[in-house]
Amino acid sequence: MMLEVGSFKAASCAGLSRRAFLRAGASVPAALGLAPLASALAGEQAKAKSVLVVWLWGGPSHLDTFDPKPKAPQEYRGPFATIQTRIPGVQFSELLPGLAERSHLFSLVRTNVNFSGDHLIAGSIGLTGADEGPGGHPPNFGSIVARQRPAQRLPTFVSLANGAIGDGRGPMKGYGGGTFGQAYDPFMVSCSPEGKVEIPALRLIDGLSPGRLDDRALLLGELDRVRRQADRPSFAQWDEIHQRAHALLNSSEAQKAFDLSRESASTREAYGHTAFGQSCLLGRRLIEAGVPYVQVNWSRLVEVLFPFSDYGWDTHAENFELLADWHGPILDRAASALFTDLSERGLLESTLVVCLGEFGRTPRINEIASRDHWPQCYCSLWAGGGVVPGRVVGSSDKNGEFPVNDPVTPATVGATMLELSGISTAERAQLRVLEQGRVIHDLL
Amino acid sequence: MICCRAAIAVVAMGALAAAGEPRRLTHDGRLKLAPVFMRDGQELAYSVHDVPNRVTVMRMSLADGTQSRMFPETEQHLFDAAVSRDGRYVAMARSSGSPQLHLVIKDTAQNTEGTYNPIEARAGIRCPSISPDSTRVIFGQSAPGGQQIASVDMKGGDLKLLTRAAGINTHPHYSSDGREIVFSSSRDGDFEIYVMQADGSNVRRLTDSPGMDAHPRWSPDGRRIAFTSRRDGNYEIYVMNADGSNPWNLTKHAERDDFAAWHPGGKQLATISERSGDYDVYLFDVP
Repeated sequence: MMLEVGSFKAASCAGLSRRAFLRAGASVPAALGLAPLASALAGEQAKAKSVLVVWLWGGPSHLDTFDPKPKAPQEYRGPFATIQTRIPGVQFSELLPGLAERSHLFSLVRTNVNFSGDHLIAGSIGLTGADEGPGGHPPNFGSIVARQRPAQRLPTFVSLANGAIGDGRGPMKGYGGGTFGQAYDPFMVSCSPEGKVEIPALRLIDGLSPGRLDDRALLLGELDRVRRQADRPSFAQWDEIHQRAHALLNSSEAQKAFDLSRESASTREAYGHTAFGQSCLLGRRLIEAGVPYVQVNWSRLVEVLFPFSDYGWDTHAENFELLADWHGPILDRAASALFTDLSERGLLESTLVVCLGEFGRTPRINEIASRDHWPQCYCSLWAGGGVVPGRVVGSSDKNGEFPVNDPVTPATVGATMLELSGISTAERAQLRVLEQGRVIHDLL
Repeated sequence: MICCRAAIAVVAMGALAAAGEPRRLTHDGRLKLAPVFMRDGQELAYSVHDVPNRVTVMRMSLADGTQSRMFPETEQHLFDAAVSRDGRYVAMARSSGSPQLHLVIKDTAQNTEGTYNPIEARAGIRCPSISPDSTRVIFGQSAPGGQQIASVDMKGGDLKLLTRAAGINTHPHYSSDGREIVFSSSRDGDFEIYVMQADGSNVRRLTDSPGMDAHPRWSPDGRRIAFTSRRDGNYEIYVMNADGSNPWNLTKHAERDDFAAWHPGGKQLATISERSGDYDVYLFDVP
C-alpha cells in the first residue's frame, strides 16, 4: 500500500496546535465530495463523464513543442528538427515523437490566447476563464464541476501537485473554489517519482498515523482535546472536514484509487518514474475510479538548474537545454502513456483530456538564447469526451506570434470543457460563470 | 599506462559486460546529466537531481560502486562537470540565487577556484571542457539570439569568443591533443556536429542528418567521436570517425540514450540512459 496520509513523522501523538488546526481547516476542501453540496444536474447528456486537465504550469514554448516553425528565421525557429505526425501536414518538435505517433488520439488547438503575461494572473484566468472581479476570483473549472456534479464516495475535484501551484510570490488564486468558497477547492494530492502518494490536507494531527486514526477511542479523545482548544465555529468546520477525510481513509474505493502499487510494473514504467509521469498515472486511476475532475500539474521541482525559479515550463533561460534534456522527454513519455492507456482501457471516450499551460513563450529568441512569456498565441491538446481526434483547429502566423484565425480564449476553453461535461450554457448562466464563453465546435 | 590502469578499474567492477549488453552503474533512477570519467577511469562523475530542489555532482567509484557528493560543502546547484586529465581541475556550471549560470573552475590541488560570470545578468554557461594541457576551459554561453562557444583561462579570465555563428552553438569538447574542438550547432537548421580548430577557425560540418545530433565527445585516441543522435527517431548514442564518416548506432534501444562519455581506455562509453522509465548511468563496450 503506497498511500501515505499526510506526513506522519512519529508514532506518538504530539497533539494539535491551534495554528495547525486552523491550517488544516483552511486547506481541506469539500471537494472531497463525500456529501453532495449541490444538486447533481448533469449526467445523461454529458459526453465526458470525467475531465483530466494536464496543466503545464510555467508556459511551454509552443514553437518547441506543438507548433514548430522550421521555415521561420533563425532568431525564431530554435534548434530542434520537426517530425511528421499522423495528421497529414502537421508537424511537432522532434522532442515529442511519442505524441506525434499518437496524434490520431487527440486534436490540437494552435490559437489559444490569454490576457496576461503574468503567471499568477494568466494561470488563474487559464483555469477559470476570467480575471478576478469585485466579488473575488471566479472558480476553477474543476470547482464548477465539483459543485454541479459531486461524487459520492470519492473526491470530486483532485489536483495532483507537488505543492501549491504558483511562483515565488505565492499560489495563484484561480487554483480553487474562488467565489464559490473554499468548499470547492481541489483535494490536493502529491505523488513522488517513486509513486508515493501523499495527501497533505490530511495532516490533521501531528504524530497521528493512519493506523491510529482507526483507533476510534484515541480519535475521539483527540477530538475532545481539540474541541477544548479551539473556538466553536472553526471546530465545526474542521470536524466536518475531518469526518470527510476520515471517511476517505476508510473508503476502499479511494484507497484503491490512490494506490499506485496496484499497477503493473510495465504500466508504471510506461509513464516514467518521474513525479509528472506517476502523477499522470495516478490521474488515470482516479478517473477510472470515478473522480469527475482531475488536474495533473506539471510537477514542480523538475527543472532545478535555478534554485529560485522552480516554475515548471518557465524557461526564461536554458530553454533549449531544459526542453531537450528533461521537459520534452518527460512530457512525451508520460502524456503518450496516458493517451495510450486511456484509449486501451476504453476510458478515452468518456474522459475529456485537455493539456495546456497558461501561455506560450516568445517566438523570437531572447537575448540569452531562450524564450520569455507569450500569451498572444499558444497551443492546447484535446482528446476524448466527445472531441473528434486528429484535427488541428486554427493556425498561427508564419513565426508563431499571433493566431491567424479564431483565437481561443480561456473562457472558450472552460465553456467547451463544461459543455462536454454536461454543464450547459443555462447552468453556467445560473451560476454566473463562463457566461461569455463559446464552444470550440471545430473540435466536436 | 593509463589504458592499463583503466582496464584494471573496469575489470574490478566484476568483469566486462557481454557484447551489446550495457552495465548499469547506478540504480536510483533519478534524473541525471553529463557523466565524465576521472582518475584514469577509476571514478565517474555525473550530475543528478539529488533532492527535490537541487542538482549536484556525484562521484562514483567504478571498483565498488560507492558514491558521494563531489562537493558536499556547497548547497548550490552544480552540474555539467568536466575534469582535467590530471584530475586537478574540475569545471562546472553553478547556480545559486540568480538566473545566471556561472562557470566555476575548482583547483583541487590549491583548494581555490576561478569563476567566470557572463556579463548579461540572466546569461548562463553550459557544458565546459578543459584543454588537455589544463590551460583553457571552453563552454557554451548564451548570447543575444543564440549561444556561442567561448573560452577562458583557468582563473576564469581572458575571455575569447570562438564562434560567431547564428543559432545555438554549444556542447564543445576538446580533442585529445587540444588542437580541435568538436561541438553542436543549429546554424544550418537543427543541431548538427561540427569541428573547428581550437582558436575557432576552420569550421567543418561533420553530420547532416534528420533530427538532432548533439553532445559530441572525442575519443581519447582522437580517431572517433561519440554523440547523441535522433536520426532514427529516438535519442541514441552514435559513434563515427573523426572526419564524420561511418556513423553507427551503438545503443539501439527504444528508450533514451544520451550524454556519452568516453572511458580513458577508449573502449567503453558511459551514458545516461533511460530504461524502464528510470534514468541511470550505463556503461557500453565500444567495438
